Amino acid sequence: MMSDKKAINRRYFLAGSGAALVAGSLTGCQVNEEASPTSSANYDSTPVLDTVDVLVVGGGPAGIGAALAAKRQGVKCLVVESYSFFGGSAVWGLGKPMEQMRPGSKPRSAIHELLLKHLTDLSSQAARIENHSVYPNVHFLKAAIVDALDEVECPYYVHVQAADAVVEDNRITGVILATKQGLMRVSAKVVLDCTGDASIASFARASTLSEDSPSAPLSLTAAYIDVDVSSVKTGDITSAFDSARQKYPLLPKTVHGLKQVSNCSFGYMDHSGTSGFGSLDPLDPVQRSQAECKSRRQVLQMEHAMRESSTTALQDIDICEGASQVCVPLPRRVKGLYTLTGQDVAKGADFPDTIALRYEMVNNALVSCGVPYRTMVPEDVDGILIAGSGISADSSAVSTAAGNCMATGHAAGLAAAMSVRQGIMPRDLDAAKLQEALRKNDAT
Amino acid sequence: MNELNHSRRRLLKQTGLGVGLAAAAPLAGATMLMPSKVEAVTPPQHYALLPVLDEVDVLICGGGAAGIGAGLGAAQQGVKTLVIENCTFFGGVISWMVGMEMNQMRPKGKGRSDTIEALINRMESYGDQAMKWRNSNSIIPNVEYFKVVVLECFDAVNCNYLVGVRAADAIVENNVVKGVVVATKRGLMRINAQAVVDCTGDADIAHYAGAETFIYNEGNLGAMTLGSNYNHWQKPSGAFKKGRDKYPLLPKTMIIRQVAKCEFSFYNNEGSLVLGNMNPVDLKQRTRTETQLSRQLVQNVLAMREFGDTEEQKNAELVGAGQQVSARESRRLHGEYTLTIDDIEEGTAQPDTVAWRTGGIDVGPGGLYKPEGMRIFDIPYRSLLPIKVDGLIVAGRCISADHIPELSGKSIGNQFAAGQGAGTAAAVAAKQGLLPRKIDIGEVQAILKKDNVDLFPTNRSTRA
Repeated sequence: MMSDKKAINRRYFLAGSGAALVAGSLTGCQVNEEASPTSSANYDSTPVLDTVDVLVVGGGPAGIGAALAAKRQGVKCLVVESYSFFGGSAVWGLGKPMEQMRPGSKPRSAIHELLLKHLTDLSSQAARIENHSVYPNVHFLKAAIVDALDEVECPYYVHVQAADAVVEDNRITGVILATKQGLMRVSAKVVLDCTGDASIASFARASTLSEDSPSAPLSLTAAYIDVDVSSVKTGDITSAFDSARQKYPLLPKTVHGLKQVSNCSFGYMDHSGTSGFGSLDPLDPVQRSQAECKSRRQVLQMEHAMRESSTTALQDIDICEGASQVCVPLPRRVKGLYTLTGQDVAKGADFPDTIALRYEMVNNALVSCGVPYRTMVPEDVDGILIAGSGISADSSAVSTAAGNCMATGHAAGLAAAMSVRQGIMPRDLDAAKLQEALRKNDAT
Repeated sequence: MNELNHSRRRLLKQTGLGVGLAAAAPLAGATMLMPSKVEAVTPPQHYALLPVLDEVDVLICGGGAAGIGAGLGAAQQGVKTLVIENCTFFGGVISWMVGMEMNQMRPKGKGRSDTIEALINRMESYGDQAMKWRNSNSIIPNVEYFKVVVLECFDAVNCNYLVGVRAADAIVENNVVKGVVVATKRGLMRINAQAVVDCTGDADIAHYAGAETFIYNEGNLGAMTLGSNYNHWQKPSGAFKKGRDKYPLLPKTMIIRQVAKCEFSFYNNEGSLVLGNMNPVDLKQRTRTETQLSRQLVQNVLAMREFGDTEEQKNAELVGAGQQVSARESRRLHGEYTLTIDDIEEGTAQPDTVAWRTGGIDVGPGGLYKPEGMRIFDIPYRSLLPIKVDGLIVAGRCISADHIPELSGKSIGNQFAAGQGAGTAAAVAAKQGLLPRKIDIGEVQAILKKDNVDLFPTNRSTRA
């Protein structure tokens, strides 16, 4: 049996891992993913925090979509988030657009609109909606998400980090959380991995796809103030950086301009981040730490260079906030029953089990492609669905657009609730029934 | 003054503090949040099999003021030191409060140590953008600068660091902490260490290791605050009064100051007081605090825009927020010595001092009081040491102290200093292959003196 073979492999790796890995140490942390013994761990004595039908891990766009959708189906649901706030990449974008929330300027689903309603209810300060994108003031977005979760009465914990998966016979039955009270266990009939990088699937030793992709640059967004955002041209910033490169060696190669946050008078700046620093693996604790720390220095050097530039409009600029973490454009993904490819995207493929659409702007035109249910189902582990940027897709088909992530989250939430009600594994769910349920939620 | 005396009496009564609480005696009146795991902890067997992320002499968990002091203190002794931090940046409360004063950085105008002065000098070298002195003792930082300055300070003394790594459990063998288990994107890993310094602010590691911890939860826990930054901001005065019906989370008191010389302000207030008594290490209460306070910030700015009188007020914008709430009081160690209110009032000198605290009391509910009677009081090494568990030193807000001593002199400068003392002690222990409890504290004191720490102040008045 497949699971027996796995178990043997696992023991083999365990025996070898202890000594070999010490040498990796801080000099590069050559931690072999295969060597992670975590799924062999016995957590029987770990205190149980909660037992639920559907556990959503990660409170970014995918997790929010999943939680809202699942809870509205009446199942017992819980969302856990490692930061102290919800929003994930939409928040650490610090104002970067949540793309494809309204593809073609049209509402996308009842779930997307529920969040947008709460966001725009807060005031015109909270967000600016332009075409398909929502430009949030992220501090309003955090509150709006809590408002949406509270409206559907979905319970949640923040500041608890998923640390491991509980696996029995190749089926995930719960998640281990690192909390202020120590490790705690949440048992669930279905776990929705909305971590953005298939963390839970990976903890459970599901196959992942990160190895096929070179590390894409990571970038830390920062917000800047005391500058007339509308009058500053990207060219001014570029020339400020070009003339200061010698003095400030961490300046990014390219900048995407200083853009207005929501309807506010301050701006955020997105840039090419670590692209000049060599390849840094966002999953490796040491390399990730290096990327985060270098990026902190980088956004400060960007401020220096702008203040010292010859463009008067830039000379008073103040850095007022660095993001919670870098953006990861090409995260680890699960290897699912189907892997979405760049070719699928290019030809706008449709699938019999399409459960969401992946929208993208290509040369100012909106293109879409079906996302099959199978991309959310890991090949080799049960009891779990993946939503958001960690679904099974090759490096040219990954999408981190908030609207797309929310859409797969929405589908995963419904699928989980239906699986729970039918007492089946998500992999055995009839995709046609899921499509029908999605249509009832006005999903396109 | 009357109010203070009143509240102190009340607190004394509530906490049941007698004179001269004996070392290691059970704490009368201390409410245990959860039964501490006092029996010997058997780590899950698989911990032995976890990948080893690193092996170090001194491991510091938590990169706030105490952790920074500890990292610098230990690394300067030439031992292999690693500081791990849950956030992707250092600074802890300093960074989360996005510009709040770092108090007691130069008490009476004097630097606390060469190490801390070096950090201040680096901040000053960045000019007005990075910081300003509010008075001779308090720094108002732009925290984006502070985050980078910490990295520079660590680099200068070869102190290793890892951000985005969360300590999830302790590895304990025969009641000695041998390292910690960390949660990473690649699953759990272990970091082995000769000595571990718990600078988590909430005694997380001590709790994980089964050391005795406690929290005074008598309904008057110090409040939690979510720091925030605003643009076009003036003291809201009337606006908050008028807006309170519509925006019920508005705080009653607030401090607003310009961040360094930048065009935005930070804002400090009694935060979670509007929610009632909230415990930072209770998962439900912590979640409620984090989420309600994120709403509070929105209400602040909306009330200002709606009910403000001036153009500036009507154009106020929310331009930044803390990564998480900052706690004033939380779970802490029950150590070999527990600081009492007598220590504050008498300015107790301790033979095994590793730092001292000065400043004022910040007791909720109600805000800031500076007691006439507060004096500079020593932090004995014993207050950093767990009673039963070894291999572990605790520093920062979560050292062994009663309610008022905990809330007194918890200023940033005091935490840097105590952290430096703890880190130095950990380095001495690691170098000599001794358990932290067994070291000669005189050696630690000698090292600190060389760094120009005034360990035995003769004038214990808190006034300049």
